[in-house]
Amino acid sequence: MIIAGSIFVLCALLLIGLSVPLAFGGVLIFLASVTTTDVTGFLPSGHWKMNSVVILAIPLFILAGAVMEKGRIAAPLVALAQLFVGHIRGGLPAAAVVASGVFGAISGSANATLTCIGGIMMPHLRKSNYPEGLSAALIVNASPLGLLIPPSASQILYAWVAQQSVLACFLATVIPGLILIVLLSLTNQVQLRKYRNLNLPPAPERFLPEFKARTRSAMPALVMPLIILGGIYGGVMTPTEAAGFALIYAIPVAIYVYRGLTWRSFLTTMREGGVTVGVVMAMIFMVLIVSRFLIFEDIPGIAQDLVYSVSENPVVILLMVNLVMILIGMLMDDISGLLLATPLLLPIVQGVGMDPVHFSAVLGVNLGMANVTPPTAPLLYLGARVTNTPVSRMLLPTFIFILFAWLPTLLLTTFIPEIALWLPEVLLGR
Amino acid sequence: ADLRLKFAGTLPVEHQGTKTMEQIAKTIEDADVGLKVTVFPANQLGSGEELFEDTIRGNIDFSMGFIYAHKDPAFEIASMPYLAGDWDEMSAVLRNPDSAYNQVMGEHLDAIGLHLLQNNPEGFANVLSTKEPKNWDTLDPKDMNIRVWSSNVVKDTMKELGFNTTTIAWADIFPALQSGIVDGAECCTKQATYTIFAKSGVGSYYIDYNAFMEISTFYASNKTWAKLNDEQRAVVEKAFAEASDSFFQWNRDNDAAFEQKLVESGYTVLTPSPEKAAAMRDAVRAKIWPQMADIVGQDVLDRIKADVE
Amino acid sequence: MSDLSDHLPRPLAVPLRGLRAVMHAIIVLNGCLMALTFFCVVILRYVFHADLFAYEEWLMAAAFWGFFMAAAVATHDRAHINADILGLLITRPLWRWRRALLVEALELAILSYLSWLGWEMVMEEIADYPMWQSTIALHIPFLVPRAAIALGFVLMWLFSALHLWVLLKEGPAAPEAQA
Ligand code: NA
Ligand code: NA
Repeated sequence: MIIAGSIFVLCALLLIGLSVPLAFGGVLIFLASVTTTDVTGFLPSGHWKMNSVVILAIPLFILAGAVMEKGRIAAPLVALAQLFVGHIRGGLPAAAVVASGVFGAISGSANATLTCIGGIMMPHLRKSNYPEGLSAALIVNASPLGLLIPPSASQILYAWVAQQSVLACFLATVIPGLILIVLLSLTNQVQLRKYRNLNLPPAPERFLPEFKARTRSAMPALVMPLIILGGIYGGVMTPTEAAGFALIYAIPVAIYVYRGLTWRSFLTTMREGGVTVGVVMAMIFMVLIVSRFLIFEDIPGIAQDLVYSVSENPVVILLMVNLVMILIGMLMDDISGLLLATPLLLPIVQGVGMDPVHFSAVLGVNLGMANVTPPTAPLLYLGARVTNTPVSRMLLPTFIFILFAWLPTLLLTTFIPEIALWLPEVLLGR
Repeated sequence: ADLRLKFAGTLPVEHQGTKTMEQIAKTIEDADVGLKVTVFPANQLGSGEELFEDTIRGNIDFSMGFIYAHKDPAFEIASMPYLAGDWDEMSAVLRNPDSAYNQVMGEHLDAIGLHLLQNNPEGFANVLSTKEPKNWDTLDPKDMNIRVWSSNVVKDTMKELGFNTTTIAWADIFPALQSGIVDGAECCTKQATYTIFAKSGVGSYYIDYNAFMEISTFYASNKTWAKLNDEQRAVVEKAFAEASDSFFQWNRDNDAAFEQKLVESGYTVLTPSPEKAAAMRDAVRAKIWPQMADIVGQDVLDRIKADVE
Repeated sequence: MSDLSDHLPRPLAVPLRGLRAVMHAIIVLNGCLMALTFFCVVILRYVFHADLFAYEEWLMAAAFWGFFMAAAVATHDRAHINADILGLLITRPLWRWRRALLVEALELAILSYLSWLGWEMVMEEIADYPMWQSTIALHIPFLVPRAAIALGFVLMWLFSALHLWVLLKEGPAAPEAQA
């Protein structure tokens, strides 16, 4: 009754068009009216839940992403990727996907990946006559690679909520990310087959000098993953500290090396990035409160009973869990989806013997997808602005990418545990 | 209708502490005095700090957790170094309802709206490290950076023992040790060291300074307590007391077993000789205890000192 | 996003601009503070073998101010994330306006509730003085971050009310109806 009511209130408010944090606020009012909870505990519990330095990684990665975007840190990376495949059919879009993956090793957020790569790639793709809707959709669908390739704000959040090793969770999504890169490029290639009049840029005449020049100009950007990931895995800093370091490093690189920013526009960037931080943190705050007070009503227990009443077959249970996550993902963005899904679903998957680190990968793929599945699809809407393409033209290709790239990646990650666990085992010996 | 009570804890599902909670819930329900108890283990209702605040509010009825000093600095007595040096002293200070420690705790908890049920010393919270500290059994510099939590008392004590300290949140200890940001951590009982760190291949030394205890407390909301009748209160008190006794006995019995498991998983357990341990204890007490008067109050400190000595 | 104060009469617009300038300053300072703190923590540890003891206590208190002022500015800028499906389906300006009115009114109602909760939380903290909750090492009162949360909701309420007012005043032509 309380669950059904909460889900109904949440869905209704989201579909009417309320913002995500206030839709959750509506659920709080509902909970206050149907339970005996002392409501003065709502906001203090949100304060407690968010009162952790670990969570500061999220705003720091958002701010670092904003500085990188305005600082044009991604441009030399894209130029480097183009050098290899830009001149072949479908090569430019593939370069966009690969560049998203490489940029993922610098940035901890999907938004930053989308704005940085999308802003640079889209004009190139247009110039070469690649179809607009398909290209924009591809860039949007590739941007969650920012979360699948470490570092990743959402994996830090998961590790924090589920009390798992961040280092292991970072590594768990790497191979799913690589699979996604391949499948997105292939799916795009197939969708391109009917387009004839592509205007491909010529291959560079002298590859080696060009390669050297572009590598040199990409160096300051390529050093970033070394600092961030090297710093984290080399024992110099925690992932949260690395997020702070990423921002500090990006500032001089953006201002003095790539000259995309001045000190004045840096302040504007910090303000605009800061507002995005407010959007995300208000959402985290409200979702954490609601999920806590839903747990008060023993929702995880009820969900568990519900799942087991349908089937006790692990394969069926994992499929159901994925289905629930896809539904959550349609209604929410990655952060709120993660905060709601983890306490609800982790006990269930652990019940069928899934390692929590493996689940971090399954969740990671699901949440990446959540960001591009309507109706709540922040990356799709952001992508529309970044690429200057109407959402409606991205819907069909996005649906095809979900069907032939995202879902296969999700199923592989769910049912072949080694995809997630092999790297943590090799590198961390867990 | 039966009164439905929420009993929240922070320990993992398979932990003996959680089993103790379940045993208590069962004993209370079996007494058939109109009480039903639902157990929420493993931080399901939040961290220890959240349980503390929401139990005062009455949203949670019983909790098992650490007592944090946010509401009243006197609760820092839980971090008083060398309050007890072995399991017998632990029992005398924490398992005896008439001890100064329990009296002070009970009074101060009552003042903020909580009813003290039982204090559970689970063992000593000691240093685990990835390498052997230099001069590990004296006060001389250890040439080692270890994690402490944000408590002046704990930081000063570890510095007195010769460590460099770094403040790291509980959630960051594991990656910090795994990647080598700190060489060790002041944090854990043998059991926790084994289940959290040794099993994952992190850390290789465990040093028995026995300066701090891992104490979890059973407490009830005063709002809930006021709702119970005398018969129900008696049943609840008895259920908690008996379960705490057997939990203490279990911890005591298993301390050696977990030490054995630590050794089997490749750990070296370092235990200073009684003379050296006493020398470290006396030096820390002489330095740190007087400082604690500023935090917990001179009267509280005097009561506890009188009791311990 | 358009500036709300452009649509308001002068006596409202001027203080609103001042308020936003202060909020923007808090947001920028918070971002810089977070980054610099972690940078210093790492440098101190490796270069000076020192520890910024209990830095999380003041950093978190500051962070809550940054986050909640930013969340309120996001309400002003209409930057919060929502499911835009009706926005895609409804094309007639009158109906877009009606939907915007409904959303704004519901959000205002929910924010009224949250603001009240914020008020209650702050009053509860103050009532405990001098035995009020504070951080363990540095004794920073919980009132500091909790006041930021409460003020954040109150400001969100304020901006939301102003949006609703502009929406009613300017009818289907209001910029709010187009978003
Ligand atoms: Na990333
Ligand atoms: Na979605």
